[in-house]
Amino acid sequence: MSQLDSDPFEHLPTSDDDLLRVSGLKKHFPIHGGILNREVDRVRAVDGVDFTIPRGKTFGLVGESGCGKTTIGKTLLRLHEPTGGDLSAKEFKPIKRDMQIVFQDPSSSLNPRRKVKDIVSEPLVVHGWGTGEERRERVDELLDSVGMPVQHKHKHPNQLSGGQKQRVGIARAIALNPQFLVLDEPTSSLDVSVQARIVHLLEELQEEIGLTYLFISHDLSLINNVADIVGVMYLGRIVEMGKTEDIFRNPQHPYTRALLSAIKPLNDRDRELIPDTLLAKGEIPDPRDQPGGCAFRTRCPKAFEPCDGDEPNLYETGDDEHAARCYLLDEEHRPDGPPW
Amino acid sequence: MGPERQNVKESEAATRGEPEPEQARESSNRERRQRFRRIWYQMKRNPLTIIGILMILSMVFVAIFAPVIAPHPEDRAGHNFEKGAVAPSLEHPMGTDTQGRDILSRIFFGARLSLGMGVVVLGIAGTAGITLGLIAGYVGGLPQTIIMRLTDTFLALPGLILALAVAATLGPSLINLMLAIAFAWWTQYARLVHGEVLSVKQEEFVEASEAIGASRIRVMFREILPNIMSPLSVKLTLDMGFVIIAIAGLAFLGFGAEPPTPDWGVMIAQGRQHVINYWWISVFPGLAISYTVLAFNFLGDGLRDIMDVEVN
Amino acid sequence: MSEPLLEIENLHLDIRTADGLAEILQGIDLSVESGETVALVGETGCGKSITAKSIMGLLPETATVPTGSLQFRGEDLLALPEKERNAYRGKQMGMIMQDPMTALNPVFTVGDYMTDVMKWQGTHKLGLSDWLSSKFTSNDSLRERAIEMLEEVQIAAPERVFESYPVELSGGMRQRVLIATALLSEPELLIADEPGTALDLTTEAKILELLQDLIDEKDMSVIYITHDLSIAKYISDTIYVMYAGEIVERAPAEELFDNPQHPYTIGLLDSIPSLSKPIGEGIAGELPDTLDRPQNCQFADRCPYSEPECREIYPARRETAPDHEVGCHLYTPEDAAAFDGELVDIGTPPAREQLENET
Repeated sequence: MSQLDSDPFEHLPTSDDDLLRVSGLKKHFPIHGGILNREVDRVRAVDGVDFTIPRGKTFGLVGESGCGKTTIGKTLLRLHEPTGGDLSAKEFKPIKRDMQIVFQDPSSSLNPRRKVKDIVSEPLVVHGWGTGEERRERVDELLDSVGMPVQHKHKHPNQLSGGQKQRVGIARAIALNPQFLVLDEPTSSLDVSVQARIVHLLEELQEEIGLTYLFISHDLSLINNVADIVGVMYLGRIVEMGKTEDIFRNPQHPYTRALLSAIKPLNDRDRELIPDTLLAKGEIPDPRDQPGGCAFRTRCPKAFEPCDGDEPNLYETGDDEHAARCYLLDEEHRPDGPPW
Repeated sequence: MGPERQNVKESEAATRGEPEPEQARESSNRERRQRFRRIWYQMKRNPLTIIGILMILSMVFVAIFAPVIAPHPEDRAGHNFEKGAVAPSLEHPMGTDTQGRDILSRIFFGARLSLGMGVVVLGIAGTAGITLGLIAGYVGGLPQTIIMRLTDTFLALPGLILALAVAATLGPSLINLMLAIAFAWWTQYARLVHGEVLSVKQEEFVEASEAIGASRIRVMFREILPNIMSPLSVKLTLDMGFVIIAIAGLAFLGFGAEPPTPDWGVMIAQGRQHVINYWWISVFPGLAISYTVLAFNFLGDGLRDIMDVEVN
Repeated sequence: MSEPLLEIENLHLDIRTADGLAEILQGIDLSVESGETVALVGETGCGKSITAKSIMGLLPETATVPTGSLQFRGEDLLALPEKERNAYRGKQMGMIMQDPMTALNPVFTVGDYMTDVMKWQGTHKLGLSDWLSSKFTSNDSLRERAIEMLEEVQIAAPERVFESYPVELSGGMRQRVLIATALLSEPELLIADEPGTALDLTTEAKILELLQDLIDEKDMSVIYITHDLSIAKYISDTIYVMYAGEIVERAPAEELFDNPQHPYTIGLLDSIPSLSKPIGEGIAGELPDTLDRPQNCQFADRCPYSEPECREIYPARRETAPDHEVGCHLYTPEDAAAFDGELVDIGTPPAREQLENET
């Protein structure tokens, strides 16, 4: 892991404009077993991740299920205690007021036994915000700002549509005027026509209240639309990171290209941006049993000798602030010229 | 952006606007009506629920108005040896016991005792069991190990025998009887709640509440507990019957109320030597117990569907 | 063209609920030619899955079909008694479920499952003697057939998978097993209910590729149910767009993308995030209440082009181009003489280029 300590993302923006800076973040989940219930193994869900998010921007974290992207979001919020690494966020008061989360499945993230108004006012109550009357007003104001008819506040979540539920989830998250929101696949359980509206709502809110987002998704086309900076995750590591245009116009890591190749083009312009052959073999390995060296080598069509050795470092791609963790970018190792 | 698109935005803004307070009240009333309609729909699908409720209501009515509706309220205690055991007749629909007391009247007064004691026992056992179960399930770790192993230990002993032993140690009295049964019973709830919490804990709303910064107590009682109320209420209702049997059983053995208290268990005990000659002395209190247990079972079975009306 | 393999006409379906009668399907017309792949596209609650279940005869007890016909090779399945219906299910029509994680019973091995399916498919009631005699007949030929089928769905080690329990297999592998099982009896009609949705991106892409190959190779008729228009375009010949229990538009796949007509289809296409264009506005509003359906056009309340007439006159589907039907008053039928609905003038639809420039 030593190469990670050198902070390969040093060259990414680290000015005062950065709201959040994460370095070497690790989260390992122990597996207990045996008669004594001792730790027998661990799942390295997040294994040394570094990134910074500039104020008011959206950082898109993309990857398939089990890659650790959700774990990162939850670890930032201290829903999981990190195993290692450092999180610095300037001027965050109590962390749970300034940082909030919108969950993936609004059917599960809203308590079915409570009414909308109680769900939205919960953060206000917990943090002792305002009087009863002020809280009621704030709930109306919040519902209004997420585009939810206020008369729905007496309903239970099961009486709302998926989009409405997610609006309630967003209202709850912004109740205390946080600076930073983790959006954990906020639209993946919604229909596309609803997803579009929720995405626009999130964009509006970002502009109005000056929010900074960590947008987690498995959908590259969506990330392309919402993020300013993108990190591609595979098995607990960020394998490629850069500005959104660079990632999508000039993808360098074979995994990024594999993800892109799985997209079904909508039109001819899409087709030009999508590699036409599917570029990953097999399925994601069990995170408990990761291959050594480059984690992607077992599925990579371009794998060659160095991939079995040490884990590859981050290599610059030539674009500004764009790096990928792949030996193909290393001129010493790479067999014959630029890979793509 | 075309003019049509703008229309959409405006019409949406109109629906977003501040609602009239009346409108809000009306929508809240509509929710309530809808809820009642769904509950009624579920009940109609399982008519035994309605029968159970009616039976319980009749018991509660009798318990509350015992002094008014009992034909011989003066017979709740005391005796009338000259009269002796009289077979059921118009004046004494269930006859009288060997001490000449009207059995129907005593059963009416006994309903107060049985229901009251049942509620108290379940209240104590339920509160203790639910709290410990919540802690074990939600907090986990050492508290979980201690509470659940303790529960296992209790569950390894037959409940009634345990209650008997405790009651015998404490000495015969109504309060001791209730404490003894509650002591033997709390593990039922601890175990049930623990299991349910483990599954509800996986739901994201628990995590959402933690993300907000809610205290553990608040998460346990405001977020988790309401979501396990449905199996819990079913169990509590079904258990009401069992607890009443247990109370009567221990009273029958002499660990509860002392004569002349009109306790159903005591009444059966008093009639048992005479059951050949004066069968009514034991049989009617026995039927009262069966009636109660049946009522709570009917309700308990139907309750689950009704409890889930909000969620489905 | 000969008679279609499956022809659904004006299928209505209601479900009894605590709050009253929910009108789920409101007149579905759908036909599948033999060898054709048809995609049924729509969002949550549009009734696409219940349509599939109606075809398979897997409706809940609370469902009733007030009108409509469902003809499979000329025979009305809705009129058949349950016993004869069973003979179709599985044998002539196969179904692939959405979630491979729950569609396989964890206590049976893949082999148990597949051989059981072959033995008992279409059996209405299983007699004790049938069951006992089955225990003494050899399963070798069934085993061979199952392994052959597993090979066909490109499972690398079919013998090993045959002996495995579902928990030992990955999601993609399980979905392959389900596809293999559905294809065992070589059904003429395969219904696939979002078979990739529960899987990972790269795995889903591979399952789709596999299905595409199998469909071509076996010349099956397929109804592919999905919420994703881009997948529908990839896999199907004809796309049916469903909204609120109705078919609002039907067109050949390419044509639908080049020339979408119904405002719902347009809104849907516009909303799909793509690499090359910004995400659209989405569709405002909510699905109509199934207990209290709006009169006539179901989409009017959410439609940017709706006029009062849309709520007064039913927008019957009209053919606006060869094989392209749309249920919207914005369009006039190509052949007005053959159209038996009522026409109103609510203006002309926006041109496609104009729409694209807006976003």
